[in-house]
Amino acid sequence: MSEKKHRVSRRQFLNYTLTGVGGFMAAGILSPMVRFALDPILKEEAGQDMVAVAQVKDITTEPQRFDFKVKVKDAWYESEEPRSAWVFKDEKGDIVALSPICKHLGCTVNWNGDKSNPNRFFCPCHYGLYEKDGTNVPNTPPPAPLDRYEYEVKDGTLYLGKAKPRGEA
Amino acid sequence: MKWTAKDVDMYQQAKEYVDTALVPCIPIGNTNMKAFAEMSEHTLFIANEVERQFKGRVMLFPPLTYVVQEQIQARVHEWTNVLKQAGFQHICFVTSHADIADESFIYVPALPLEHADEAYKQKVVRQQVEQVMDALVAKWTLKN
Repeated sequence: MSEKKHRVSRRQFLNYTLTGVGGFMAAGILSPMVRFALDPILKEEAGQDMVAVAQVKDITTEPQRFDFKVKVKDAWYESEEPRSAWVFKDEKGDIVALSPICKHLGCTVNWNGDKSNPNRFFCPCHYGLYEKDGTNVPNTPPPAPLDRYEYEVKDGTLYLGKAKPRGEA
Repeated sequence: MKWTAKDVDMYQQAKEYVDTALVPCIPIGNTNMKAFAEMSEHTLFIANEVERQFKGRVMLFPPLTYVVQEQIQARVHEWTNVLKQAGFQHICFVTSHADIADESFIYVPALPLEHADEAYKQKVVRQQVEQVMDALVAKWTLKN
């Protein structure tokens, strides 16, 4: 009696096995698809790597220009692009790294470039001026302060990241 | 600015600020090819570097390419006219080719830097870039 009760019919047996095998196959197909769909959310923001630029002991209160190179990836084409930064320590001793790219039309600005405007950044193209902290001088062409690099100090070396408009950095 | 769709867009919006055209002149020859290739490479490198520093006032044009047997003066003249009409007040031709470089060109001698060490190379190139930049600044201040 009990033996008979536990007997699995042919129909049930086929049902169970087919559901089981089908379930595995469906999972095998779906799980990579789910992973693909979620991938953009799980991915970390592709931040630019920090690049070693200078030794902290070399940085003074006077802005100095440091040149470095960053790897730029444009689709499958990777290249190295030269960058520069004006680096100095402010009154509080904090490091400030300014991007030399003029906010007007993108020329390269120089420290003390104009003799009649000492201790300012000067853009030779259209005579734009910036104060030492990067603030644009009113009545000159630049519409905004110079960008600041994100920075990090590790073992006495200064690393620079992305240049960000002031207010964000 | 460079001769690309994106930069030309920017140029059209800021036309009154961009008054200088920079044209690298590049020779092609059927003998002594390597020397000409070196000149071309050098000229283009310097021109690119100047453009990077003076992006907002200088438009870097694609190179004027010529064969060495050619009389280039007529073409330079033609380019100058066309660019003047386009509104460029200063038109600078840069070349490393000594044979064509008269006073209307900015001459940047290509040095045999192939085997020089990296630091020396950079120094020499930077000097020449600065020399071209000074020449441009001199033109600008003369005008104002």
